[in-house]
Amino acid sequence: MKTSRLKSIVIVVLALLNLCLLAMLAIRQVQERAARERADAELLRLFAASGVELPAHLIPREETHLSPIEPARSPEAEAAFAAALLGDCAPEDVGGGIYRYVSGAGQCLLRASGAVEASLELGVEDPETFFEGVFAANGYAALYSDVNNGSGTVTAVRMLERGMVFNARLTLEFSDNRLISVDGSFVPPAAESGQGENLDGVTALVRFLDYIRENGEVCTVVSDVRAGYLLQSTASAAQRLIPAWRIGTDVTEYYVNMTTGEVSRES
Amino acid sequence: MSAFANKREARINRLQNLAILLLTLSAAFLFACLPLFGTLSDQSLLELAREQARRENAPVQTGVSNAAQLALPVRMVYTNDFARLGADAETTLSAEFERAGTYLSEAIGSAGDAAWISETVFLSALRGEGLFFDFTAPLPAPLLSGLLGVEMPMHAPEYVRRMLLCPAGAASALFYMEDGGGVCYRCDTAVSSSALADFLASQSGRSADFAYLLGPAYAALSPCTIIFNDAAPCRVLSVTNAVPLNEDAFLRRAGFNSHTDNRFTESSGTVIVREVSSTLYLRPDGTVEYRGGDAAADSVYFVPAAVPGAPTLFEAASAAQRLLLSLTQIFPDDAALCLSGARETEEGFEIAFDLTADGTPIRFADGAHAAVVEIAGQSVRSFTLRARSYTLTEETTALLPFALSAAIARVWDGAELLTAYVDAGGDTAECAWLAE
Repeated sequence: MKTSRLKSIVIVVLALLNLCLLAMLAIRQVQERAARERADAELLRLFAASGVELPAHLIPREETHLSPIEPARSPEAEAAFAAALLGDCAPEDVGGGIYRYVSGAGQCLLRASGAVEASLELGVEDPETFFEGVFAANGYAALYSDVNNGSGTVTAVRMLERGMVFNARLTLEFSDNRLISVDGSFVPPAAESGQGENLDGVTALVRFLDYIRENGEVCTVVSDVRAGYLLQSTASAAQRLIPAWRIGTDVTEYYVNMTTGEVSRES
Repeated sequence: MSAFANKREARINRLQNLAILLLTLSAAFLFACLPLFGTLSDQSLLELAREQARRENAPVQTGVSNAAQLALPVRMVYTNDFARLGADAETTLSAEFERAGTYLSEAIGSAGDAAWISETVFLSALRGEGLFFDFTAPLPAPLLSGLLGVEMPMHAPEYVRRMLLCPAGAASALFYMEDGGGVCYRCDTAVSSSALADFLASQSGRSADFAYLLGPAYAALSPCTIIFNDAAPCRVLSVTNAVPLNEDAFLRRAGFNSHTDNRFTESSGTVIVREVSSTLYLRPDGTVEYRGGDAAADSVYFVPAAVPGAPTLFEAASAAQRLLLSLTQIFPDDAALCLSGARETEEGFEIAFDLTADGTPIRFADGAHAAVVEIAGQSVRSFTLRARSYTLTEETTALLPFALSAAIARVWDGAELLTAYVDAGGDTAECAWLAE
């Protein structure tokens, strides 16, 4: 048989093989989509039976691979943050992992846990420009602000590449174009690995539902579901970012630990 | 055949080769995307490869229960504006202590000059808001320092057992009590009182109180005795001598050759095993004793130290715990090892350990510790281990009501009342009230 005829037969066989494999793959995709839709429907039915509305578009579809992070304390980042608030100042080691920065404008305490307490009198021309600069330089994003005519408070949350650190917030208070206090948590730069094995969003929602049933919690609507981190401070690790799902409701917010599945509520 | 026909044939040949190559690669790719068979039928080759890569690159997660971290028993009491709650049966490795301990380490690290105060002042401070720690045994200050990762203040007492952190104005005050009471100190710290108050207000747990605050009926007890309002029944322990269950494995873990000829049994029933410079005694009552010389750097008896030849108390205690955990890992039981004492001796250090089961201490009827390790230089020179294996059964014991026990305990003025298992050498151990 001529070689070219043989090759033609091989090509036809390979083409048929490709078509079969493609068909099998298409069937698998259809089956997966149907299974996902059944799971979503079951989840929505579970929530409805408990009197909680869960919009279907909030059900997380993508896998997350967040890992716990222990950010290394950064004296340079803290000094820069304090300098942005107080001007020229040097750190004073108070002990217990607490550093105090003092200048003519006031003082700022930074703790090993990341807790920030600053009381000061810093004149600023434009509070909005000022706080946007501070937030941008330190990886924070403004959440809400009621600053009006140079007075009010603005709150920002720490953002990492793969998610928000839900409970790492900074609140700046202004009065008559003067910054008078800063409270919250300062999280230094942290490297994320994106290689963790996490509880998926659907399981997190089921854990949340079990929690509110067992504890008699009241809520009627789930308004937000997103992946991120929770800041924890313990005796063995001053700062630790734990991957968690945040489930927002019409009453309060709940967090589901992505590693342990433990549910907690906003305190 | 004409040149044109040859060229045409060559072109067709190349196209066919290209088609075969592309179709083969396509088929291989589609095959890799399809789910496999059997137990892996929900994953394709590509998904498996991605998962494997993720596992290999995943950061190593260090759990809290790290053998290198010391486990000290601790009881805590949280007093806020509305309630007094307690946490019993905890250790310094537990999540409960992890949360509260961060305030303690910040307080100790930022503590200012200490002022001596009377025991009455210390006890009065128990009434108000505060975070109370009882380490159940006097701790050498350097041990606590190493545990919390902070330097103890210059004025810190040599041994500390009880500490109280209270909001005081904008900051917080730390109270120390040496073991036995009588000598107490107060110092200011930089712990935020509002953060401490918020932490105390957020706590939940078992309702508890101090004997000092409960009036004359409990006046005979140690004033810092913590009394929980609910006394849950304790499960009975089944007890066996652990070493005979797996003697050869124990010998190997202890660094001895299980097939050695230097192994003989005395008339008393004690098995003696000898190596070049060390001897192991396995006694019939389950006690194991070791005597040895200088340890090599790769030996289980070696004590790592930052300064060669001069380990700190913390390094010695960590090494002793690591050794005991290594030896007892093969015991099938529900007991956990906790450090219960540490002191410097002329030769080096003596570190004592005891056991807990389900958070309840286990005491031996003769009052001995579960294990005592003696260290000289960077070597464990001897240890004594009560190698007993404890298993929780479904059977429970109902304890006497606390008030009745407190009335009985009046004969021991100033004693602290606590629940503990008592191992008298039999094959079970039950929970009872002990006055210490």
